[in-house]
This record gives sequence, structure tokens and C-alpha cells, in this order.
Amino acid sequence: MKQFFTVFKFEFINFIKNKIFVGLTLVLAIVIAIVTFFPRLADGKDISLNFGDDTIPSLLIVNNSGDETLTDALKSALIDYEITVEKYDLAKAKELVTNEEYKIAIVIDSPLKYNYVVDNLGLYDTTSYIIDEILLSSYKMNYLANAGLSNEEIDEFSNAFVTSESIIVGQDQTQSFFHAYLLMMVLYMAVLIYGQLVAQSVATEKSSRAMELLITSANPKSLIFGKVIGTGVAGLAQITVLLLWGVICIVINKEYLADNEVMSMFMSISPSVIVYTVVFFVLGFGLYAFLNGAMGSMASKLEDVGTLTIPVMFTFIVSFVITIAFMSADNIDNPFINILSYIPFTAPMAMFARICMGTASHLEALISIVILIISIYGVGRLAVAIYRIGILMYGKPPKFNEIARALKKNK
Amino acid sequence: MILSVNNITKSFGEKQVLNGISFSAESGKAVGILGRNGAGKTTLIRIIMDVFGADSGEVYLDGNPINKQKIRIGYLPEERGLYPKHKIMEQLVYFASLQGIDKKTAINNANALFNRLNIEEYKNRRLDTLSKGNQQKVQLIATLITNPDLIILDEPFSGLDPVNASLLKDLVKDLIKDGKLVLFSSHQMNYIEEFCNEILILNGGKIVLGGAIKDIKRSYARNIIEITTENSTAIADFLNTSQHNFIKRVIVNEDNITVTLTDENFKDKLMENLSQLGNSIDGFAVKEPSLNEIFVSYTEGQI
Repeated sequence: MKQFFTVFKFEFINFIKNKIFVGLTLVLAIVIAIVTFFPRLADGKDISLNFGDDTIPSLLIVNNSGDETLTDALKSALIDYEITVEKYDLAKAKELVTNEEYKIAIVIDSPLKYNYVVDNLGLYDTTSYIIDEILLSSYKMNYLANAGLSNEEIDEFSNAFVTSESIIVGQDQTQSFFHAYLLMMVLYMAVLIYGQLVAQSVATEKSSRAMELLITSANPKSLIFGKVIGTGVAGLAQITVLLLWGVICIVINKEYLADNEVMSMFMSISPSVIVYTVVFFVLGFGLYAFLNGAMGSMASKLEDVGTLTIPVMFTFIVSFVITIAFMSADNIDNPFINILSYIPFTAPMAMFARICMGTASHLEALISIVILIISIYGVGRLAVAIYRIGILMYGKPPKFNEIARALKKNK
Repeated sequence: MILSVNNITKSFGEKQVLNGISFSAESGKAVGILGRNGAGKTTLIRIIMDVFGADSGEVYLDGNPINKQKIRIGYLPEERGLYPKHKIMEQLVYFASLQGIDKKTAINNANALFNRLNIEEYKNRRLDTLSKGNQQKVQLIATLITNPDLIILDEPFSGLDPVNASLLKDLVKDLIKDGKLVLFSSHQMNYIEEFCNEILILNGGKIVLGGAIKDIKRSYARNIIEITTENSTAIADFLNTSQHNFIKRVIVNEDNITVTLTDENFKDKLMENLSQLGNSIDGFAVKEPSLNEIFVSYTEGQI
């Protein structure tokens, strides 16, 4: 036990002292601060996110439709442009846009037909939609007026709107989808990165031959448990610090963030979901880190780590992809995901998604957690057995049936 | 303290690596473990250190199984093993604490060794910033930091320049003098001869030769005499022409002559004859086989 704590402390302190680890934590903390403080800093100031040039674009209207009211309607709608009205033909308009005398030219042929002449059509160019809208409503108004309706009647008709209110009796899946997606990304990245770090760390000890001295100084159980738990606690510390920092930042800026749709979604995350995030990180990490540690012990060179951990990481990635796919399809309450949420290797993703989307009860979550804990115990024992053999093997990484044979013999 | 290894066998898969190894060693003496690459030296060392068990046989220390909680073992692996990217003192303290040594004792022990090996200025540097020779010294400090009673050195002198080698040699000699039990594995026979009273040669999973070096050498025929002289041709002519029926063969080398006698008891007779000649003789000695020659003759065949 004393050896375990010695290894644990050594591994944990290595993380805390690691410049990359500390740097990454700081960068993430700064990103959180920028996102949460932005509305406060932007408050009352005209901070537009327009990175283009500030000059007002010029627009040419050529109205050949015979209906002069259209020109005025367009003029009053397109306020962001410096508008010139001329009587040219289409060819002339094209030429002027090509020569960059005008940014845009609108050549109206008839009340429902026009040409939109532009040099480069931007992805977010909505001007033509505005024009469509104006031409269409003018046409309708004229049509209704011709049909003998009074101005008041036309106004009433065109100003009609539908009111509605969504009454959510269960979980609001439009909101929970967003934060579930985000928390799942966090969980996925954390388990993936920290799991990989464990494998790499074991392989580094082997390739630098520090293992030669380690195995003669300590027992393999202390070594792998110390490393996995030391790394896990370091990861947990990082996640906890960042989550707390996020909460602090949000609380400080609460009044400024309330209007922001995205931020208010964050603020709607319930404390129990936060607790589950931490719990499923611990369990998911535990399960995969032990396997990764065992895989890392079989690598003689750092280059082998990637190949050896593929089966383990692939399982986890697939569980993430499947869960996300069902979430996106709005189909998380499905028997397949239900089953996956009790299988240890897919549970960290599937059960967590179900919890976030509100389709799992606390009891169901608890059952999944218990299954995971039992599995971690089993996987931990298997990992120690593999590790014991792996750390003494050098050369080509062994095949899986060779490991199985060695395990059988050692039993 | 007496280490006794009794009838150890070990196989990995189909391959029988050790096949009935027995020997004993005691405090204040060094035992050289010799063997070609793959002879099973490392496996034997790992079994003694309880990294894994033997298939059969026992390792006892003073009649009891080795209790790693009580007995400290210092190990210097052939493939050097420390963390290259960590600060030296930090990792030395870590390795010591894994073996149950508290931080303060570890630092004190380490400081004494840094001082002894003249590398004090490096103790807070990263290991990979040191030269190969200095890294090797650090490795030795890691071996000795727990003040172990049983010390296992696997090729401790590889990669050292003569000055550093002699520094380490003195340290190892002091360890033996201080009553430590040293197991010493090397392919550099001159070091083995210098430190070890006893050797065992491993080949094919068995000990093919074991015992005190002196006795082993004496067990060889002592009928070859090496005469060192400046008048080698004159002496050779004399030995060849006069009818000496106890001489089998005379070989003339640049500055000596080797004379093979029909029996080792004729040494005195040869000396008598030479003294009659009146030529100056610098040396007259029985030619013993070198450890190298002994090693090769026992291990030349299959491993």
C-alpha cells in the first residue's frame, strides 16, 4: 500500500509539474473567461463582429417593370446600401458591376422577375431574399387592391401572425441536447486523452528501461494502480478546476449572460448532471486506463503504443459515435441505446447521454454505475496480469493469443 | 550473510532457460556470473530478485526465503534504467522510497555518493543532460542509495573511460571490503579477475563451471612454462639441441619462450638445466590459462 502511494504521488506530481499540462489548463481557463466575460465587456458598446471593410457598398437599381412603387419599396428596405436608380439595360448593369462601380445591381424586368448582378456571391448574402420578399408582398398587395379590398383589410391580412407557446412537461430536449452534446465531448476527450497518456507513460518507462529498476523496486500491482489512479486524479483535478472556474465565471456575469441563448443553456445544466459528468469520467477513465496501461506495457518502443491501443480506443470511439448518432436522430430513448447503457464499455457514453437527455432514472444510472465498478475491478485485475508479463517482454509486440496463453500459464 | 540458490529451473514457453542452477555466495565476497548473451544470466538475476518465480527450486538468504521488506537489494541493470527527462535527485529519492527508504535518508545517502563519485554539481539536472559516463555513475548511485546488503551489478563498467572506471572499481572494492555480498556479471574478464574470488559460468541453462578462480586455474595442467628472456633464440637452441627427454615442445615468441613439459614435475629439472646455461632469465613461470580462454573453452559450443 505504501508503494502504491509512492507511485501515485510521483505520477500525480509529474502532471502538476508538467508545463504542457499546466499550460493547457491555463489556456482552457482563459477561453472560458473570454466566452463568459464577453457580454459584460461588450455591454453598451457597439462591438460588431464584422471583419470586412467598413465602406458602405453601392447598389444600382434598374426598374424596367413599369411599377415605380417597387423602387421606393426597395430603397426603404435596403438601408445598408448606397443606392442609385438608373434606367440601364442588363448588359450595362453587368458591365458596371464588373468594373466595380457598383457592388450589386438589381435589374427588375417585371413585378415577379428580376436579375441580381453581383461579382462574388457570398455564402451569407441575404440581400436577394429581401428583394424576393419585397417583390412578392408588393405583388400580393397590388393583387388584393385590384380585387377590391380596402387598405385596412389589406393591412390586417398582411399583418396576421400565429402565436404559440411550448409547454414542456418533461425534459426540454432542444436545450438538453446542446449541453449533453458539450458534456459528452468533454467526457469523451478526457477519457481518450488521459487513457492514452497512461499507455504512453507505461511505454516510456519501458523504452527508457526505467522499468528495469521499477520492477525490481516495486510490485507490478502498485506500479499500474499508482499510475492509473495518479493520472486519473490529475485529470479529475483539471476537470474540476475548469468546471468550478466555469461556474464562477458564469455566476459573476450572470446578469449579462441571461439574455444569451447559448449561455442560458449552460446555466440550465442541473447540478446532478455535473456530478454525473464527474462520476462517468472517473468510471470511464478507470475502465479504459487500466486496459491502456496493460496495452502500453506490451510496447517496447513508443511507436508501438498507437497500434496496441487501437482496439481499446476504437471501442470507446465507436460507443461515442453510436450514442451521438442516436442523439442527433432524436432517438436516445431506444432499446438499443438502453442495452448499451448497461454494457461496461459503452455505458460511460450511452448512460451519460441518457441521463443528460432525461430518459434515465437515478436508479437506472446507479445500476449502470455498479456494473461499471464491478467491471473496473475485473479489468484492473486482468490489466495487472497482462502488465506483469508485458513489462518484461521486449521486441515485437506480442499477438493477443500469445498474451492469452501467457496469462493462462501464469494463473 | 549467505545467499544460496538451490536447483533453480525456469522455462519460457518451450524454451528451458535455467536447468538446475545451484550455487552459494557469502558476504564480503564477489561472485562473477559469466555466460554468453542469452545464457540466462538476467533470468537468474530476476529470480534472485523475485521479479518472477522459478518453476522449481529455491533462493534462500541465511536459510530463509528472501524478504524484500527486510533485505535491501541494489541492482544495476545491464540496460541502464532511469527516467531520462526527470531531475536526478528527484528520481533517486523516488526509487529509494519505493524500497522503503525515507526521503531524508535517501538524500543523505545520495549526497555521500555524489560526493564520492565527483558529480555533485549534476544532482539537480535532468538525467539526459549528462554524459554517458556520468549517467552511469548516477545509475550506480541509484543502486547503492538504499545501502543494500546484496548488490547485483550487471556490466557496471561498460562505456566508462579509464579514469571513471578506476573510480568505480575502488568503490566496488570498498563495498566488498565493507562486507557486502556482490554478484557481478560482465564480459570484461579482467574486471571479473580483479574483483571476484569465485565465478560461475552459465551455458545452456546449466552451470558448466563454478568455483574459486584460483582453484579453477590450478586445476589445469601446469606443464607449460613461460620463460621471459632477451636471449630467446639462444635458449631455444640450447633446449632443442641438448637431448632433454622431458621436453615435449619449445615455441619461440618475440620476448619469451613457452616450453611444454612431458610432466609438470619436471619444472625443477628445466630450471636446473637453464641455470647451467648462464644466460640471463627475467622470468620463469607456469603459464596459467586466462579466464578468457577458460570461458571460451566452456561456452564455445551451443548456448
